[in-house]
Amino acid sequence: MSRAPAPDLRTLTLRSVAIGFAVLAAGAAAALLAATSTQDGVHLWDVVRTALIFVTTAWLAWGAAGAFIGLAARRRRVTPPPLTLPQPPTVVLVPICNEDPVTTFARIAAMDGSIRAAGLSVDIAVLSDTRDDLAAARERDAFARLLDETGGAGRMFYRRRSDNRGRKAGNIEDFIRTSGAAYRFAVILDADSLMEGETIRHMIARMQADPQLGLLQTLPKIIGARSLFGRAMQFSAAFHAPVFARGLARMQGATGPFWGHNAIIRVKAFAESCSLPALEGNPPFGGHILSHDFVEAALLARAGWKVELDETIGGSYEEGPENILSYARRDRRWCQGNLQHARLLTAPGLAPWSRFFFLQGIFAYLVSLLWASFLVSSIAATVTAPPPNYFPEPYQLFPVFPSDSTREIVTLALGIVGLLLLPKLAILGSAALSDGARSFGGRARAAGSVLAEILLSSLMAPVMLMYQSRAVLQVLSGRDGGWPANQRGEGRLGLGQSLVAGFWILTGGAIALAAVKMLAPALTIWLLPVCLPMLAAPLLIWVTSLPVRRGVFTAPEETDPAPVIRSFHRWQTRWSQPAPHRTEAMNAAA
Amino acid sequence: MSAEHIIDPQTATAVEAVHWAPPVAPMDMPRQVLEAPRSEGAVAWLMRLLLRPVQHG
Repeated sequence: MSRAPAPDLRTLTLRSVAIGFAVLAAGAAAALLAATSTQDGVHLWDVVRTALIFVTTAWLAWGAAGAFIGLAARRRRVTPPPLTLPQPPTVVLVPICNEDPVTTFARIAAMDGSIRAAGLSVDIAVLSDTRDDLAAARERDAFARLLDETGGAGRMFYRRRSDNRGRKAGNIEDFIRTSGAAYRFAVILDADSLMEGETIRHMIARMQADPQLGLLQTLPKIIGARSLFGRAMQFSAAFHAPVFARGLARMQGATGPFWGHNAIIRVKAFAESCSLPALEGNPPFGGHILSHDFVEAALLARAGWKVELDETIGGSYEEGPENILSYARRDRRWCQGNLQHARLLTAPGLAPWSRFFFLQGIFAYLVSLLWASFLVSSIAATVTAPPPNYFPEPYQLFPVFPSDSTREIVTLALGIVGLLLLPKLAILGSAALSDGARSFGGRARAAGSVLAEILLSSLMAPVMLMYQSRAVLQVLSGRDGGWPANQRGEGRLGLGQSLVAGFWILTGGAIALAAVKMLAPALTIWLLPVCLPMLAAPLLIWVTSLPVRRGVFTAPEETDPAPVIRSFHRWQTRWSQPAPHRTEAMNAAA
Repeated sequence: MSAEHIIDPQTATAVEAVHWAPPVAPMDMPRQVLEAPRSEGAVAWLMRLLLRPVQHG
């Protein structure tokens, strides 16, 4: 039986408001489309596209509702509780798999210094799942240098698994099984995560203050982006994401999300409720659970632990993909992981909201396919529509012309665009009024960045739609995408490389445009916003991967970097040179 | 600059020293049940869900 914490009245009200708004908006969109498309009678394609517009608009409105709910700042700031001494034993876990050890360990060195500056005694464990022996040799040398230059022996650990069963979730589980009893709390990071010591101190204190809190998730800011694509994401993560995350946190209540990293867990809670079994059958739907974090959050809630997201916790960072291709590669894995959750919708004892959250994650990917289906069914409805009957009655003297439905269609289009743009514009307005735009270069520069981000994301949307639709179709047809290594760092692509990668989208766009022009010329203008970016896909992939100057998409972490970020850069620069001398560990090994 | 250009794996000599390993302090982690047994299926789950208020009396 579920022991999940019951949602309070405020959380229930906000959930009802968001769901109600989504259903109302979807109903209005479906009614408008049905009114215009059934003037000549009800046909199969009209029913299909009306159903599709209902579902897709509900999804858009749901996202917008989350932003609107998050717009209002927290009335009472969470008062940071003091750390109770003695400080509970805590470890920072850094799971890695074929990462660049110099960059990864430079982050660890920076965090170690920041942790000690915060007056904490926290261990750091590097949990390697690297399979390549040469890469592992590099890791060992880099770790020996890390110990040597930070004096980290005894508080920094490194172990490499002999097999990588269960991937990242299995890696963490392996650590807890062998070393979990030594720690009360564990901060879970990714290889590209960076966290201030003060942030870790704050999180430990929060866990101490609430014994029912099983997991506390931060909202990591993206740092270090260089390309146009990366910088747009970095800006969006800093400017828009806190509002969306606050809306999510308010609706989730105590059954919050876990994003797999930049969070602190209560080791006992995690151990007793988060050992994931492999699902029966083969991937993509069977085997190890790819999107393990959502499941772990649901299982913690099932066991009665609180899982909270607090977007106000600062000093938590990560890096993001630098181009569309690396984003699409990561998205392919997330797509498979989220669709796999269909198997878990009926898992025993889950809180209803956890099931809803799984459904939402599944929908996040299905919706691309549904939008594509809506476009196809709209063309099919136009092509198969019977010719207008100007004399529906026998012996009729004057013809009856079909009523002009341009107004309804334009209203529908404006409504959908509004659902897409209003949240971002509302966030801009709120930032301008509250002086929140200052750290983004001032009101004018923040407004420019928001408009540029809207333009860029609108251009990329059809390309993303194609990648997501392909990923969904691949998973549904049984193709396992595996767990490809993350591509970090320099993301610049060549024009040829972009042409090869985006040619299938260009071809799809050309075929779609030609087909529409031939079959339903009246719809051509409506499909241009989708088809033109598809035709330009290789160019978009290439251009967005190019580095841009820092004036574009200014983010606060650039104008005033946190101490841990500056320290990371110093360590990275220092280790960009070969080691000047043999390290203690190397000598010991020799 | 990435590690590939800084550390030559052919001349990398460090080995995992004993003190590199995290402390040994085992903790039990019971495997969780995520799927109803195949013999039960969705109908059984639905029945359980519908009957729950009755069971609670």
